[in-house]
Amino acid sequence: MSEERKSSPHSEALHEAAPELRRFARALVGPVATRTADALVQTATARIATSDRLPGDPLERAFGEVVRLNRRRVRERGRAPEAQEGGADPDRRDASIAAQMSTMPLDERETLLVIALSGFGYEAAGRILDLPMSSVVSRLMRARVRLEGAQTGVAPRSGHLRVVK
Amino acid sequence: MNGASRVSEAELHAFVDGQLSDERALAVAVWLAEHPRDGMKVDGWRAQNDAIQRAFPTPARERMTLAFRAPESDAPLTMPATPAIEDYRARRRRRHTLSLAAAFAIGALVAGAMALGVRRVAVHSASTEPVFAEVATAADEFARRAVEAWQTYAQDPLHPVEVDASDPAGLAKWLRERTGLLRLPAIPEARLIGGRVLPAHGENAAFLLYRLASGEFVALLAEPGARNPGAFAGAGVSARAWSADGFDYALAGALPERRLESIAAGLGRPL
Repeated sequence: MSEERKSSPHSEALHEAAPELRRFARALVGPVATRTADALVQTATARIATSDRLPGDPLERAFGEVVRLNRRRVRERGRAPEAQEGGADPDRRDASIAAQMSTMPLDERETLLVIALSGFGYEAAGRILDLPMSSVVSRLMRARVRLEGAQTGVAPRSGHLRVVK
Repeated sequence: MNGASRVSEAELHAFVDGQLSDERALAVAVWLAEHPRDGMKVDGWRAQNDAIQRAFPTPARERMTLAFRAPESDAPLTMPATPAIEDYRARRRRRHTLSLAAAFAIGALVAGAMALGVRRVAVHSASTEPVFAEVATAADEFARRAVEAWQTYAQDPLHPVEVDASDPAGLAKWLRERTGLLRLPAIPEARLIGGRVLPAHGENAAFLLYRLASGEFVALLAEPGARNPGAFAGAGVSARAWSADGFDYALAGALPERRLESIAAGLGRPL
């Protein structure tokens, strides 16, 4: 049974990538919900590993599956409460980035993470997020502007406020 | 002139993420040298990317890796290397190299623009040579240390190792507690002699000594890190380095390069 699965090329690829996948999922669900994140990864990899015949890169499909499972999770629970509980982290600056990311709208957060954290190109990100490239780019741009705003204390909704001097 | 051709906001993002063709990336680098405001934006996004990378560390692998097995086990020694994961790694490497190349290009352009004028320098800065030289050094330095460790210990007639492999499980546990190395890698047709713990920039490295069926000694140095493939050769001793699962490995020995290469490949070094 499990011996059989071990030998499938998909599950080997997924096994190799498991830490990256878990890293992405943990960042996606928020700082204190690591168990939820690991459960998402487990479900996603199990699904991909047993569907060897489907086309496409198994890794992208596993990331895509995590994204879909998380979207459903958020839809069902309303706004994820874990996001608010981000505890004290020794590294202030990075902790604040993590906190800012966790309050960012989900569509922007998942886009930014697929690209900036997991290192996928825009086309692959489009496949993972099930979005056209143009939407990937615009969400990415919004996410970065929002982070910039948070870092310089400018409210993200206030449009194109710029420091001129 | 092409250097001044308009660059869109989306292209600036694509530049940061390594998504532009080489020509377009160069054009953007020229643009940035002339438009410091955009340069600051780009730097800001890069800093964001770095902060995101730091804020979410890669979790440790919890299951044992398929690459290595306990010395007493009969399981075949295989490294899972599928096209998918190789593609994934190649993408990441390419992205990293491109952003380094781009960073180098910008640096060269800013400096050059003052002295010579942007147009002339753009051609010269297209060379990526210094980038590759820099990427190679950290791993090569690690490979050099493996050669040195081989020279110091493998040739010691009395005490080449601290703990011998008469009790493999005990040796494995001893090294695991000190270095975090989960399994003692096995080399086909070689006998594990034993191991040592060596200092490694504030951490501990595991030094494992093997004797090949043909009589030569090879040493495997393993320490936490991710410096990726490198090599070193000096005074008849060579080493090959690679990274897997949060560890750097370097295999050293006084062997022909091809032979060393094939043993390293058997241990999981990418070809």
